[in-house]
Amino acid sequence: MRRALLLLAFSPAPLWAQAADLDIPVAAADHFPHGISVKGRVYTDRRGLTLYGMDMRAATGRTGQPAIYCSGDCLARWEPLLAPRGAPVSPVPRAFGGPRTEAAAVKPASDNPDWTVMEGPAGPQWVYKKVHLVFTRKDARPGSTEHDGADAYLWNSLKYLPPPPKLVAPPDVAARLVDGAYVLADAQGNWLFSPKDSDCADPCAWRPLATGMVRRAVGQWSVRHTADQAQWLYRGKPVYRADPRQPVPADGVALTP
Amino acid sequence: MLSHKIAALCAAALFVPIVPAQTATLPAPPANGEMGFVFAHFAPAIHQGDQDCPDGPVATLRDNYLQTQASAERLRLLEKPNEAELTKRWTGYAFGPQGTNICTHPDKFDRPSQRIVQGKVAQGLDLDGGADAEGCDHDPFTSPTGQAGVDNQMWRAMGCVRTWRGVDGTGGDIVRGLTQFLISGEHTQVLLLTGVDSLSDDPDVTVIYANSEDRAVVDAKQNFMPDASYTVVANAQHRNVLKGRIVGGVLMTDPAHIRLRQSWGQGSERDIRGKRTEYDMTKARLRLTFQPDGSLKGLVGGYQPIWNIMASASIGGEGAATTAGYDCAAMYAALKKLADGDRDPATGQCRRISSAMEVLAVPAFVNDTLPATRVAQQ
Amino acid sequence: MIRALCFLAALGLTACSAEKAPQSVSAEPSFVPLKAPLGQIVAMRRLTEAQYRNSIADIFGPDIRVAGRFEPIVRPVHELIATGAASSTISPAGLEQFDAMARAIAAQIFDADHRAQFMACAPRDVAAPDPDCAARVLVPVGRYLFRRPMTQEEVAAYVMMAGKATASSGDFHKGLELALAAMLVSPHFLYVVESAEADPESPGDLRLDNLARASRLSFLLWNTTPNETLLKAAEQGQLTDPSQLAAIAGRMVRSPRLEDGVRAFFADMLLFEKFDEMAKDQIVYPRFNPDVASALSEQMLRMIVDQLVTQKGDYRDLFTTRRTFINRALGPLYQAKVTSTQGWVPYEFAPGDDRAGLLGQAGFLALYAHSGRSSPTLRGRAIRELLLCQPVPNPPGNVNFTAVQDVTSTAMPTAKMRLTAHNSDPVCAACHRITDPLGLPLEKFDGIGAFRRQENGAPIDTAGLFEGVAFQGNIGLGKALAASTSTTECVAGRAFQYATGRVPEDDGALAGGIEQDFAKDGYRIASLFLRVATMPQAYRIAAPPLAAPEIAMTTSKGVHP
Repeated sequence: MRRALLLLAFSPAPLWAQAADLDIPVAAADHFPHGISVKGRVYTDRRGLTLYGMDMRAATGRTGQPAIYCSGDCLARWEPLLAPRGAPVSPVPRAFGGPRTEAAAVKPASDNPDWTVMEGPAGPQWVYKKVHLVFTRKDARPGSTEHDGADAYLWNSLKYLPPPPKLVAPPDVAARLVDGAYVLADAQGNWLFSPKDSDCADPCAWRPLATGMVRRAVGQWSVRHTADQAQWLYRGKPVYRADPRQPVPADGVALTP
Repeated sequence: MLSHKIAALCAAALFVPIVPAQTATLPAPPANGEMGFVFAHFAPAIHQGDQDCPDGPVATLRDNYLQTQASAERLRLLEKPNEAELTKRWTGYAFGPQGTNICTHPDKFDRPSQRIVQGKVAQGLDLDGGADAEGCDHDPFTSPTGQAGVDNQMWRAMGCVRTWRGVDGTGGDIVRGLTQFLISGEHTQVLLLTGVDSLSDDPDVTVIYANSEDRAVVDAKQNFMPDASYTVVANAQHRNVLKGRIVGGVLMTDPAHIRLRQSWGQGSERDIRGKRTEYDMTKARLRLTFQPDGSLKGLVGGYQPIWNIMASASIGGEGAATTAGYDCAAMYAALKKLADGDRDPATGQCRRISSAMEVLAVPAFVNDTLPATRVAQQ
Repeated sequence: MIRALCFLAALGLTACSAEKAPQSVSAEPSFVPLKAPLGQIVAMRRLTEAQYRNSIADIFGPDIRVAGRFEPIVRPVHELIATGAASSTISPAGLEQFDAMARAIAAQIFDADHRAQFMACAPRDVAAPDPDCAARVLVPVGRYLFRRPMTQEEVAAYVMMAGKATASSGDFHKGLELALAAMLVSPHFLYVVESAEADPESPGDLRLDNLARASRLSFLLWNTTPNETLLKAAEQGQLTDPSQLAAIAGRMVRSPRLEDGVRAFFADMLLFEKFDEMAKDQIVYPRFNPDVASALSEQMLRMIVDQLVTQKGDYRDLFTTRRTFINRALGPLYQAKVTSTQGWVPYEFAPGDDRAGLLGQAGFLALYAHSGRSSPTLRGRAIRELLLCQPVPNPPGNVNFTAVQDVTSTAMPTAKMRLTAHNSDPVCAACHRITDPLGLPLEKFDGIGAFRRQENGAPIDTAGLFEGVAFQGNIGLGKALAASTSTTECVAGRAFQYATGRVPEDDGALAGGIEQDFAKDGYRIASLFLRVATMPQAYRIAAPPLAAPEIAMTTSKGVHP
């Protein structure tokens, strides 16, 4: 599944080359709890230090208590990002060694569902995306991400990927993030593009983004009936699909929201 | 899903006998010197010696609970009418304060060690060359073929666990459970040998021992099909590049830190996506024998963190204790006591334990090209 | 057939009348109801499953799901499904399936999430009938579904149906949904209704009219319903003009959509429906898992499309090409490295590899084999019948198969030896002489199409003979087929049958004529399809006109044309 989305059309950016053995999920919102911000594409604390997530899923199997795995000596190197006093504390899930009696409901600690609070080794601590207990590295300098992926991906810099834009588009069109920017794709993950200048000459080998002949316009999308099959136009230009493993043709332009 | 996971511990297959290479009947090496394999078997190397467990297999949590009771009370509980009470009490024995349970948090329970292997023979490799300055004292085994100095304290600790040991030449349920991980794509492992000039003797072979994210290609009987294609995982940490040599039809690699990933769950709703463990083996080596049918059989040995040995039980949590009946605290105590690698200078406690995994790898096509850009998922 | 459809309006509509037809449907000319009477119906050809699915996708969009079981069209012996479609009925059970699919499709289209994308208007009151708005929604849909403008009576009836359902449900969109569901089980949708008109070139005779020609072209070349351009061309009378017909058909065969037409044609010609029922003995062939089974037909189609459409290659080279496609499931069967984790990748056999050509593909080899062993006879017969159009008689009922079935015989370890023993009976030998010399060259491939060097430890003799020429193995067989005019005549004749749904009386002469043109164009499939799409004979009507379908949708005033 993930492989199908590999894209060679765009040159790899350094961020994506950072250690990460899983796909990086996009942010739920572009505003964050007080004291947390984004520099470049990484979350930082108020001092500008990179936030690291201790991935409780990667601590599984090393300990029965991933939420307090970083205790003792570990706290000499890693500093928990403590939550503000009074923040609602969510229970540690049973899957991560939490008590079986506790209700599993996550309590919102901010208006961004990415950020919740859990009892950590030094008290209530921020948690990102429900699985990354948030820390900073004690000896780090602002801007450094040198511990990204450390200890078999237990420690990962928290990378910010902007939330997807709200689309007014045909139902099978989605925005997908590539190298930090959103581009449009169809439901199968094909990239959408339009001709740079003149339309594809007949017979056109490009694969159209087809639709139904009785389909009506939506937002900036309209339907043309003059091609081999009903085809979407975006901002007045015909839309074609490119295999996610292939580059968008040189005389085409990838669509952006 | 949980039951499937517990199956890793509760789960069996036939032994894979290590057959000495018959170099005369080995296939010719490929012209390009490149040979790929996929692992069809990867499980603790089992040897069922007669003298191994003179007091019987490892006791269940229920048995251990009963042992804590005075004999009169024990006899009362064992009476049929009191079965429900006994069940309630022994399962309660699996839990500690604040919702802890004996398998998720075995280190929070102070329980005596489980029964350990008393025999002198086990499978494995000599990992420490007779002595390891960074290790802890232990008695090495002798291999079934008579080789001395075999380091496999994992077997000593776990070899009397019924689901490991099995009976009558058949390995315990753990073998079948781990094979299922190989089939499901949660733990696909591949080997890519390059620079092979001879299957009987070659002083310099490069071995890439890696994970693949590809699901196994199996036949209708769930046997691995030879000549299927697998692509090496993009993540360099789980792509181990080893130096090796072939002597007398046996491939041996130099000691190295080998890391392989296992994911847990195949995407069902109950799975926690991204939950994963590592096979993390230090001073690890492969000793694999070329077979006439083109496969490789042998051992992977190395020092593993003690917790990793019982990761499956830990993930299984209370189910492993109350359904499978494991006394994980007794298991943990045995592993801790017998750990023989990576001694903590401050405490003197060893944190890793020597181990041997028995493996079978069948011919496959292995793509070692690294993918490029990743695309984010919402 | 038609009668089976007569209760399609199982909607409980009884006494609706047609007098309330809306007057102001649309200013768009093509959305105006048909005023002229429809032509005489000369054939009704049932949509195949693929044509149904493609039609729904083209009319409503590829995101509309079609789920259900399609009653198969029966293939007449030695003919095409396309021919069977011209005499195919739908059983009550089959119609129930179509009805369930229709309702599910209509429900998606008019659900709250989708309806805005299909409606040019909003009802004055969502709880009350609105004939004008209903017509504005249903008329354009009907034109695409029926591949012609609906008649005024049809419009009135479906609008009435929507109104009735709205009134009973209190939901305007529910009314539309029910009307659309009824349109989707109309014979005018489920069948391609071929209508004809007087042929001015040949007084007293008939020829397909413009709208029927639009459907003919579209289903033949693209395996889907006519698009807007084609319907307009038909409505403007362009398709009975030979030069305009040639120009339009020429453009269509140059389109990438020709792939769909070529796939459908070869799936029909090569009996691909048999893949659905193919079963292999899991004890003998444990490697034949469901992933392998499902990949076999697709591999053959990809090879065909690549050779004939993508490469625009010579049909004869289909039997010798080294280019194919492979996926992970097929890798072990071919003992080939597959470089992609997902999907299909091009693969080229090494020069001299006996896998080359269509007959070396595991799909053909597995399909024409028994469940637990290969079969030179089945393979040879398939080559004769499917690729050379030379029917082979069935074996007599009292044949003793003991010798050929004893696959573990040490005395006769190979299929060839067993067949030789079997053929000591001269009655058997007569037919086996036709089939076996074409099947034995493929004996190095077992019953699932996997390569083998030996059978029961004995070397395999792959000698073959065709039209007096001896050869070895699949490579030799492919070359022999490529060199024979029987091969090209067969596909040419099949193309005509596929286009028209009928076997012409002067089959041989016509096929010979098509074959000559095929040869002139270097045996390009696009040329062959263009030829059968434009030749006047293909549009000439031999059969007597059929009675128009009667649809018990209305009572007092029928809506049938």
